Amino acid sequence: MVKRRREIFLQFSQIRGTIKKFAIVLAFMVAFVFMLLNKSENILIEKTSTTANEIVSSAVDVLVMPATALVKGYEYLRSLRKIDMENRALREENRRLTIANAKSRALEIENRLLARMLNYTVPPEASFITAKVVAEEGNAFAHALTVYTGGSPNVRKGQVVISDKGVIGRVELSGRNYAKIFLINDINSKIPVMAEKSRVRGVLSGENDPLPKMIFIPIDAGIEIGDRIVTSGIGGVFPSGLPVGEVISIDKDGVRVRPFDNLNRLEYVQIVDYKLPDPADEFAGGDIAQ
Amino acid sequence: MKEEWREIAVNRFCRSLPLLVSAVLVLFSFMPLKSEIAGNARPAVGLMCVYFWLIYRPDLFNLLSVFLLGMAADTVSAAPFGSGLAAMLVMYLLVTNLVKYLNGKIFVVLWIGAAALLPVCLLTRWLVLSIYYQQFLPLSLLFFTYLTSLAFYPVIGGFNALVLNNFLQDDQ
Repeated sequence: MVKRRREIFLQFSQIRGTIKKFAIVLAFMVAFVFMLLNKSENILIEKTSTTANEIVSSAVDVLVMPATALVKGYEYLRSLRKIDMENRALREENRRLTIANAKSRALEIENRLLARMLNYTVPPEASFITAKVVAEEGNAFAHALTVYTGGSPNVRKGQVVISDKGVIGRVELSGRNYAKIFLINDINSKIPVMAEKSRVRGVLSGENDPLPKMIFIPIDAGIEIGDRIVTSGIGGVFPSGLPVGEVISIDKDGVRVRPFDNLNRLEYVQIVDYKLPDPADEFAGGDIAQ
Repeated sequence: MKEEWREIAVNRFCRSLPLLVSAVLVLFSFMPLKSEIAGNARPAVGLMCVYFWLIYRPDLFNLLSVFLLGMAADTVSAAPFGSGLAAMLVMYLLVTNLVKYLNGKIFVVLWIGAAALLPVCLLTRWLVLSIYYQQFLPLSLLFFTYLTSLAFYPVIGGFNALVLNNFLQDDQ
């Protein structure tokens, strides 16, 4: 009995030794398998990833809380000096907005009347939630945010994320309390856009650079530096007309666009549900009908 | 008996400190900082921790620790899962083979060591992800990440050294 046990122990030690020897190779292989699985976009992998992200994000949220409070305190002290100037600017803006509001009400009524005359179907009203940024990542490998959604059930993958100045990204992973957002300069971000003035369409492609690039545009597109870039609505994921950024350089490789908002200074973002029909469902529905 | 258990628990906790401290630092490195540098060239905190602990306490920070730390970092990161882990494993390979040249050396030598090894790991990750995306990722940001990592090495190394000297010196 003792001899048998010793044999088993020896065999076990041998196996352990071999595993130890090849552990690093095994670890590398596991890392690459993870990457391949990640590329396969399997629903099970996505769910596991969402759960893991949820756990780690809550840890990050708790960890950075004291530091965030310190940063906020420092910023508050710095902002005290500017308050008077800001107050004056806000009064001026308020006066301007009151006039703009009156104009927009008149336009809305006119628009409603014209829509009724044309028998136009009004699209569903968008709903949104405001989410706090709890973690951010910015380097050559990814540009993303993790936000606290507070358990909102309306956050789904693919939804548009905007700031007060324009589009900043889209939801990639949505868990119970946290969501991961790919910013528009992330390599995974591809948004159908157009130049507001010339109506030339293209795709705003992130390249993990600070500035995204507008690609797939004709050579003689007539886009100029300073042109506003807005979403084109092609593809059905983003509605048309949302402000994205402005053209800051044009060369043979493409058109560089600076987002309207500073992507590195986001504190709160809005995740918007435009209730647009899913293009995949639309196609599936069409096939069934046929 | 109770005292014995307490001693065992404290001992276990102390022995897991390198991994715990590294994980906390890695998670902390994702804190929103609202700055251009943090938004585009965050230092590679995980790689620096792996480098530090593999030199000073390879007995407490082994391959499994590197693996777990890599997984934790990749979970928060938006980069493809496994890419950060691969970079940390490259660091593990390099340090375990070069530890005899780095062990017991003064801080400046270790800093130079980090300056020499970090680009290998960062470039490996860059290459792996460039293949993954079938597109070259920007080298300029990678270079800036390298520079910020080097600049932050004294902070990260200093913090880890604090933990090492205060909690892990007795059982060495």
